Amino acid sequence: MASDLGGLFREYHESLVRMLTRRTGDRGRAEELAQETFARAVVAPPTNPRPWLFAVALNLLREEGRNAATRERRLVLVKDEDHVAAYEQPDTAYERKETQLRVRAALAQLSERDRDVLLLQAEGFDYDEIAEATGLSRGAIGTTLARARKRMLEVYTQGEGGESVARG
Amino acid sequence: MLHVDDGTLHALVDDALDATERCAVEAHLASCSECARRFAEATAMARDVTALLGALDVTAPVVAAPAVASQRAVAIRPRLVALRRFALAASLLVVASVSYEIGRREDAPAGSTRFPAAQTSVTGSPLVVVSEATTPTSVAAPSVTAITDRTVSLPKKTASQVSQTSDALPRVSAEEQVRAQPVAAPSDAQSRLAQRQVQLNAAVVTGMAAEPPGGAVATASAPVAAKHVAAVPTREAGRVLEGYTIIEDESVPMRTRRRYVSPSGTSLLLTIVSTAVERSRVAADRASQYHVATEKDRSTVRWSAFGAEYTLEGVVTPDSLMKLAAALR
Repeated sequence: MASDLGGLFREYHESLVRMLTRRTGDRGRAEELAQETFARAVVAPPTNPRPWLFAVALNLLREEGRNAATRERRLVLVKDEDHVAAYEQPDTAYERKETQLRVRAALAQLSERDRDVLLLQAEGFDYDEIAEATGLSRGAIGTTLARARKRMLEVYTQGEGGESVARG
Repeated sequence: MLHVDDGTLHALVDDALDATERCAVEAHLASCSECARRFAEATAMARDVTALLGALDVTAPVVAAPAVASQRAVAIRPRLVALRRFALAASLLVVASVSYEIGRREDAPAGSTRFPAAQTSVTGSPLVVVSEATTPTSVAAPSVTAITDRTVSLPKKTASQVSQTSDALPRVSAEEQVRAQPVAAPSDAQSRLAQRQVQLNAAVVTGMAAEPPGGAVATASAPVAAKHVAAVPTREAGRVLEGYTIIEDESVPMRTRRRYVSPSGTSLLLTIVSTAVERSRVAADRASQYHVATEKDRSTVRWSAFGAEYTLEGVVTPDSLMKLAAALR
């Protein structure tokens, strides 16, 4: 399976890191998790790689989330981000930050399952793949997505006073 | 047909219904304005959520907080002392220096044209570098070298602070490149070694001793003073290093570096886990290029060991993992 791994990596790494970055808000951590995920694929090559990779990555994330040390590290990252403003137009920086904070807050309001399904769908997963990665039944995916999208937009617009949500 | 439920509408939006279902739902939508309205709503919701999630990807350059950088400079000192003590006690141990830097064409050492440093490349992929000295010179000579840190492209002030705290580090070059300098007076052989430049493309190369394994993988102007060079994810390090003894496990954040010594006493392991924060320290003075560089996932890692200088360039991971998998089997 070794010869497949390079292909797997090329095909899914970017998407996996993007999903994990969206989920964690921390690109470095996302890369680490992706790295770890691919390392596991070396040891136990998956038959259906995409759902497998994303499921493993999300599981790793959950495990890591229980670790207090990583929470501390995230605080450092947030601090670092404060220095971003110096390199952007203040307005742009402010808006970007605001939008991202609210999107993150909205994501945080979702149940873990809803959030995972939403993020996987955003990576182009079809319902079969989402079902495989999350362990949900295929028939439940549409309902889950409907609920997750609705909830996410509700929470997001709450902080916005009813403006268009697609602006960000 | 009754009204279509939300889940089915969203499945239709996502093109996840089978042909039969799809036909039935579309027929219903054509005749039910209420459901048609809800379908339009679901479509907009899906689009809006996608847009919101996409907004999370827009990132500004990550910039190191100056406070963090100076903390690191301070933290280096005790480790330096401890390391020197250990290195003196165990004279076989050769401590190498890892130089991180943002590759710039003009920074590239002579002869590195085969893998020219990209203008915006940054240090990148996680590496475990296991080097086992095979060149007699480097093993026999108690060449205790100063351990520097990933200070190369820190802001100038920090780099010079580092050099001040380290008496074994006589200079910081014009490119702010901190290189390991032998503490003992260099012998002729050492001087010759110091001139050697070995370039390895990102790869797992095992069993490499006197000759580079083919020009495409590596070019070497001199024999390589390393037996094993491996690029592996950190978690795999344990497997690779079975039988090795940890002689130091630094308390550097994010497992930046560890050293191991083999039963023969001559091995060195460097674990480099590069994260956004780690890279941002290096990229502090080139913030505007950092993001672009990260996106392209370019990387350059240079380090010196046994008097030779190594350069790893390009994306390390996929290739390395592949070869690692083959090697572990």
